[in-house]
Amino acid sequence: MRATLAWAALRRHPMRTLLAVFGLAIAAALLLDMVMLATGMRASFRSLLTSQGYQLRVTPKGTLPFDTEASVGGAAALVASLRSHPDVARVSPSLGTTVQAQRGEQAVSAFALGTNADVQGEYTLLAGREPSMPADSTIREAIVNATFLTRLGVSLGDTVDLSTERSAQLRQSGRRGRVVIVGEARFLYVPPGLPALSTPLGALQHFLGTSGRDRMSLAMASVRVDGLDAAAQRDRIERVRLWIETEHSRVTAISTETAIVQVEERLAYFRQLAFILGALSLVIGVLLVTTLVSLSVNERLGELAVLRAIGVPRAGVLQQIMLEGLMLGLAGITIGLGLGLVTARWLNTILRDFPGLPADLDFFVWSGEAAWKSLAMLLIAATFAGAIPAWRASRVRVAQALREEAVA
Amino acid sequence: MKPINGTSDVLLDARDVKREYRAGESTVHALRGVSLTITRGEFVAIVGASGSGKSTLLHLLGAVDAPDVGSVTFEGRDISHLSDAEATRLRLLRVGLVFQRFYLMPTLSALENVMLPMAEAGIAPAARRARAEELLRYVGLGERTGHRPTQLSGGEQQRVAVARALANQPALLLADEPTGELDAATGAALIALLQRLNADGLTCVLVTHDAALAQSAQRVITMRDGRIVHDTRSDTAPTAGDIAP
Repeated sequence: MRATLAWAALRRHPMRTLLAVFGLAIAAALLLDMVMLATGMRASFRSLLTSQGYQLRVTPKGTLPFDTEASVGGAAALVASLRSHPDVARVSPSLGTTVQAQRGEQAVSAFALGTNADVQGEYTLLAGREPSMPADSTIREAIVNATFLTRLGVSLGDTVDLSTERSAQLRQSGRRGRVVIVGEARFLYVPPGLPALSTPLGALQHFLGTSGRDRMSLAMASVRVDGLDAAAQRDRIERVRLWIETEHSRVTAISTETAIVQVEERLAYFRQLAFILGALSLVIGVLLVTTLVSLSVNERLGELAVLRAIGVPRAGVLQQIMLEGLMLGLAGITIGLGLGLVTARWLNTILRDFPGLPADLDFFVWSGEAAWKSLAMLLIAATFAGAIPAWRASRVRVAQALREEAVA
Repeated sequence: MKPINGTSDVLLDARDVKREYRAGESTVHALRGVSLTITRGEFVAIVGASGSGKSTLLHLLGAVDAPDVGSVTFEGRDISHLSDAEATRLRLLRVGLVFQRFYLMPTLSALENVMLPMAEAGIAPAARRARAEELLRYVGLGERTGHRPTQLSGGEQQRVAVARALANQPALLLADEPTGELDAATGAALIALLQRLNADGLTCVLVTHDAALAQSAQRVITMRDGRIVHDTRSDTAPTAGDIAP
């Protein structure tokens, strides 16, 4: 009966109730989005770095992976050395550079990645096949991303001309080659708006001539950690990392965990912003419910006095009014959940279009536990936001309220 | 007029009851020492000018309010100093209240309004539905159980309010100006209903300005300035001066 009365009270002013529910839905959506933003980037970045199973990234001293076009020579020896470590399971070397791709009158500047298909952790093949490594190392086949296909107006099976600019520093003239597109791939770390292609590492090194010979930009290493607990895994990875930096002074080795910590430090601003906006949305939700329920209680003091007079206990009135807050909260949160997910998806699309960000990085990631906890917090807050007016309603002096009603 | 002989089967007994309350800056001495006894089965009308203390007395008799001084005994139990929970329980189970403005829950149907006190009393849904339907038939609204208060006339709303007051089979029905918002014909129908209830054994105490309603009571208590000035069996109608506001 209390639920019936609470529901009836909310239905009495449908427009007012609807506006309050909509306000709560916006607060809930904001809270959800902020929670998704605060936890999402970290989760997404972690997922991105760990998706291919490599825990260490080895780059030229003092650089981050593909942060610059810096490369390190003696790549074959370096990779062989890394592979010789008993705790290293796999090593994936790669070389990145910028090339000009042309077909007919269409030309684009593209990111060219040389890597070996059997160990690579840079892309996911979507269509076609992996490029084969020719015996004479001449560049002949490539896989490309969707942007490359679109911008150059080509499709699988087409031939594309590649060239590099003349390098005055290396006294090397521009290099030219021709590749057949044999596959389409999604490059994990390449911004979605940047045309990209990949060929076997040896073919790209050969194509680049002096500037690419036996060089690499990055090597990813997978450490054997099967059967170890989390702490032991961290210890082993760190030992291998230190070994690499000790043995090879020309490189920096960075673990996935360290990279995540560094990213988290850079994202601290976002988390603080998300925390503040999330807290604000909670406050807005509480204020909305308190205002609406207070208004409703003030209008119904006489009616509530009559309820008390005919035998409804204080606790009954308290429960009824708090139920009104709970119902508002439930309705607002249900709508807010959908609204929040739609908004997050939309904002994610906008933010992912920022230049320079990996295609697979998400800003808003659904985390069930975090989302449910935050929405439950809002629901509890909304319920207890009705507690003050509910307490007032339950303390109404019955005889006095009836006298005042009779006079009114 | 006959003197009251209320010593047998006493339902209510008020002794030297005083009550005052604040109204803005001033203090209203609503009751200045009222004593009365009401026996089971009586039909009592309390009349008097506005501000004479009628409604305050009614509130004290129904445990809606408590006296500052004096005592009120209901079914042999002192109800002057009940806790809020005890007073609420007493009102729920032993007292039926009817108000001038009906005060039905506007968003509930007639049936749901009548079921409300029974739900509070913990009566099972099926039983309370059956009793509510029976009560609405009793007050002549058996065909209008699903109607909301706004879909009912004033007289019908007041009859629903009477049915609600009877929901938990109270020993006492208290009505504050029950015909105050009704026209003469509708008021007469309500008076007939109250007389029927009284004839069925229910003790009724009414506060009224309505001469017709006062005339229908067996006993008329006239109040002035917080005191009882007449307490008579109503063989004759009260004077206009007794009832007029």
